[in-house]
Amino acid sequence: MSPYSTGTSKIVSMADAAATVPEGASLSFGGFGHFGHPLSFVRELLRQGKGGFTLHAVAECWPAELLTAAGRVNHINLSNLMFEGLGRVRAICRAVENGWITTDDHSHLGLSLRLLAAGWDMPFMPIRTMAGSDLEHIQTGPAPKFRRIASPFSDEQVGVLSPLSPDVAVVHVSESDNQGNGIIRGQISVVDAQVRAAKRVIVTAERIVEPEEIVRNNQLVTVPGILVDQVVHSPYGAYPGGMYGLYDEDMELMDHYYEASRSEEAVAAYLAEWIFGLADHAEYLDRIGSQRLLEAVVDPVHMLARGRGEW
Amino acid sequence: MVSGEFTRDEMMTVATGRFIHDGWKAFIGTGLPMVAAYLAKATHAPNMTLMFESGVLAAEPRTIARAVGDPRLQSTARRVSGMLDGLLLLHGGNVDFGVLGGAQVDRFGNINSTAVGGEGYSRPATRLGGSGGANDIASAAKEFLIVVRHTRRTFVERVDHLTTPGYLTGPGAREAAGLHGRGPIGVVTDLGVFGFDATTKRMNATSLHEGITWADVEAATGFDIDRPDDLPTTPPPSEHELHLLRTVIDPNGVYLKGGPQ
Repeated sequence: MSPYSTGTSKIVSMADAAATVPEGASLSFGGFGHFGHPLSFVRELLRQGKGGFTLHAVAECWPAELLTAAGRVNHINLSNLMFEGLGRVRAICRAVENGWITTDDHSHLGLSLRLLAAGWDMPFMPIRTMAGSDLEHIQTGPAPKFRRIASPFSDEQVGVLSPLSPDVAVVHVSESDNQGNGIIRGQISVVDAQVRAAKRVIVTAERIVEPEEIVRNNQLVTVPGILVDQVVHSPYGAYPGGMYGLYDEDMELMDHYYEASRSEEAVAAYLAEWIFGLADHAEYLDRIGSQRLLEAVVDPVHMLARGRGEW
Repeated sequence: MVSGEFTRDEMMTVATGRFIHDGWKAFIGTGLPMVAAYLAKATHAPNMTLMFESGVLAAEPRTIARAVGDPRLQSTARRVSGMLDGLLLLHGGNVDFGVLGGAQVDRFGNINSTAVGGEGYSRPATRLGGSGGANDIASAAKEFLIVVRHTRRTFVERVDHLTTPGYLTGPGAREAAGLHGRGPIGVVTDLGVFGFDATTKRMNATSLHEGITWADVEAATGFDIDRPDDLPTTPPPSEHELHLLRTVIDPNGVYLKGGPQ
């Protein structure tokens, strides 16, 4: 018997977790660069057909791009969306250039602090950056993001940001217990603020572990279980992106999407083949094949897979 | 390639690296500036600290990193946290230097990396990635350097979108906006090295790379760059610098393709 409380398990199926996301919700996802995006969740959300979403997207290029490519996004509050080493997120760029979606731009710190303001239940958050640029001057909302106020303690004028609270935050972690206490190996992007800011939090996890394992590593717990509503067990949930310390990005498969994104027709064919044509994440992994998945496993010192460039 | 020859990319890399002082704490992205930082660390700035917006602190990668999210940076860093922690270290005034690029630059060193042409921000001809940490770095780092290829499309009279603040509208504008960083200290392009006048904050020329004429610069610039009376040639890369770039730092040409261009 475990000496630690296991409570009522929050573990649900991927389909049940995605089903709790309402049509038209505002969403924020974990992930940075090509790592740590909850892509198994995004694919299930796409299969369920809902849309009309608003995204609060700091660095989650892959979730934002796939949802926009499928026409499920109306508005994005963003700080940077691009594919490192590849180039532009073309479906998003095409949607902006054609006026299909609206955007409001921030700096990375600005958008992160708006989420933190919501997470800390503050009416505003001071910031020195963004000032003087078009990130201050162009505000397409819908809510105002940046104002200036007089400091109550000096003669200084200071920029302040409004809070931003997503309806649902979805984050992918390396390990979680059945309560959603989640450990992320490597950088956490802005997951700490996202899970505090969101009204609902869904954790997808590479491994579900016993409470003892979380307790033993309790200084590494980025996601406090008390904030989490649902937990989904999803090995290789960030694929074809990587998960630091576990598996490397699959550049060939990511490049496959990037090439398809050159045209609307090709991107639709990609989504049909790799998302809508597959029943669930198990079928997706089956399609990738165990040999390819094992080749992506990283060396425990260098944190890179063999055969993916020099260490 | 015969001895003494070098590519324009190699010249840009070496010129960028020369801006980096030993002991500096610097935010440097990927691409050519990353190669320049490795070169500076291997030569005159062994004690510089590489920092990234993802919260990666003091990374010492053994081989060239492909991206800011590259595991090579995290697996060799002294501390790894997240975006808020990394960018608030910057916001707190702890970062000496940043290197930034962009799609457009104007005479005051303002940068656009958001949207180009069309009907403006909401309906541009070309949407780009957006600020990311660039606006934060330009606002809060003590100084920053612009590294960009020199064309008339890039060097424009007015940026279509002011993503990242240089000297904004000119003298005093950064101070009025409340920015604590001093602003851009230079621009490195494939044609030369440029600076900003201490009084007017307008871009001026510091040196031209070997084989480049003032007419080349004028033809590739959409505004008047101030030309000093004395315009030297940028010191070319040394044999040692070229050796390091080609055989140690980027031997597989991840960023620097071999051969004169």
